[in-house]
Amino acid sequence: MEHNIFSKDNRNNFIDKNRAFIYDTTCYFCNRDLDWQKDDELNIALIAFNRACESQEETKSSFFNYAYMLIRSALIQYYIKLEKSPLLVFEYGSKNYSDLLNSLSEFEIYFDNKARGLEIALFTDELKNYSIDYKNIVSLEFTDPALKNKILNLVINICKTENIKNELLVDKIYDVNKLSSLCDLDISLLKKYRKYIIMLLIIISSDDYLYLKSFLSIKVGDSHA
Amino acid sequence: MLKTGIVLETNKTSVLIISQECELYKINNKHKPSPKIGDIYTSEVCRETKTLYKIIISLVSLALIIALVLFIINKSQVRYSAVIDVNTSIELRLNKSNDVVNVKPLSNRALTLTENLNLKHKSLNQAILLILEQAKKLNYIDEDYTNKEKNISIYISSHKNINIDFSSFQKTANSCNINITINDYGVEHKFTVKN
Repeated sequence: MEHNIFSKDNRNNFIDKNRAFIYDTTCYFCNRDLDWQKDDELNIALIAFNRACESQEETKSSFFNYAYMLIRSALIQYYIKLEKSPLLVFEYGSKNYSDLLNSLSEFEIYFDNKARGLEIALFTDELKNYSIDYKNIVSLEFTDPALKNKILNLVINICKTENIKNELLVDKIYDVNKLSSLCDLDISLLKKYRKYIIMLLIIISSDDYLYLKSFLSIKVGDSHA
Repeated sequence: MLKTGIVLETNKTSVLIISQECELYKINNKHKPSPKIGDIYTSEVCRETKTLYKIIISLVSLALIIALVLFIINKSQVRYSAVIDVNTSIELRLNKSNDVVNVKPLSNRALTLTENLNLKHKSLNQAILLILEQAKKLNYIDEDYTNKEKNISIYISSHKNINIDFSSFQKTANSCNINITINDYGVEHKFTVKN
């Protein structure tokens, strides 16, 4: 039955039936009402949803959870590619994803947890390459949410600047002067939050951490750049 | 404070999670079996031992500083005074512990007598003993003075709630071979030389 829904013949019909899901997920992320005719974000989300249909057999998770992850990841990538992207923020007390997770069956939760566990193991190993231990980051305090949002947008800007991204992730050179040109953070803060910035950069820039990336309550902020 | 997030690490008592707001928290591991890495888990944030240590150290340091300040205030606060009359007059100002806080010579002769004496932080009896010995050296108290059985007079001002032990003055009178009369705010104590 499931295979029939996602088959090429039935897919258009399935996508049409779920346009509301695509629209709501995208509008929530973009923090505004969108127009199918005008806004590229909806096309990006549509393509991501179609990709979820094509590859849904690879996951045993809930299809909608999987599609949600792909849409959010695609939108982040879209904003990275935009020359001038809106400011992204971490939303506090977000219920959007929590509600989706609460709707999962025990079977889906089991497979989600298993897949997420594998992803975390991979992520933990990758952090070790940068001598980052979670204990280094748990001690960091963010009394001001604006600081975390500035770091998030710095990471987006790093992703836009391929040479700086490669310096950080490939050559492992952390040049605070170059980074300070991409944000309005003090050099002392860039030094203090070095490990956090690298950790977030790995999550945002990689396609390997879909669960982690979509779990983060990232969305477009109220003030658009 | 309750926090929810993806489990990154676990141990017997705590779980490390990453929250939706991309912050890492160490939360209590309350459930058996323990959550697995990758699970979404909610619990109370652990009170960091490090923070607890910091709080304890800060409180102890604060208490020590307060105690030190109170000690210094107590030591330097003048509570009463004693005027010693040895052919010249010297005023000793004393704290609650009967230690000399400062010395006020009341004449030029008294200044000469006290200028080479370090009386600060000495007890009342020790200070008087030093003054008497110095007075003898400078001949303020000569044999004639002692033979005529004159008294060295000490006047002590009101010292409410401060107990002064006068018993040691008998020893001072004997060692200096001089009679001492103390007027303790109207109450007279006499210490005559006993051979």
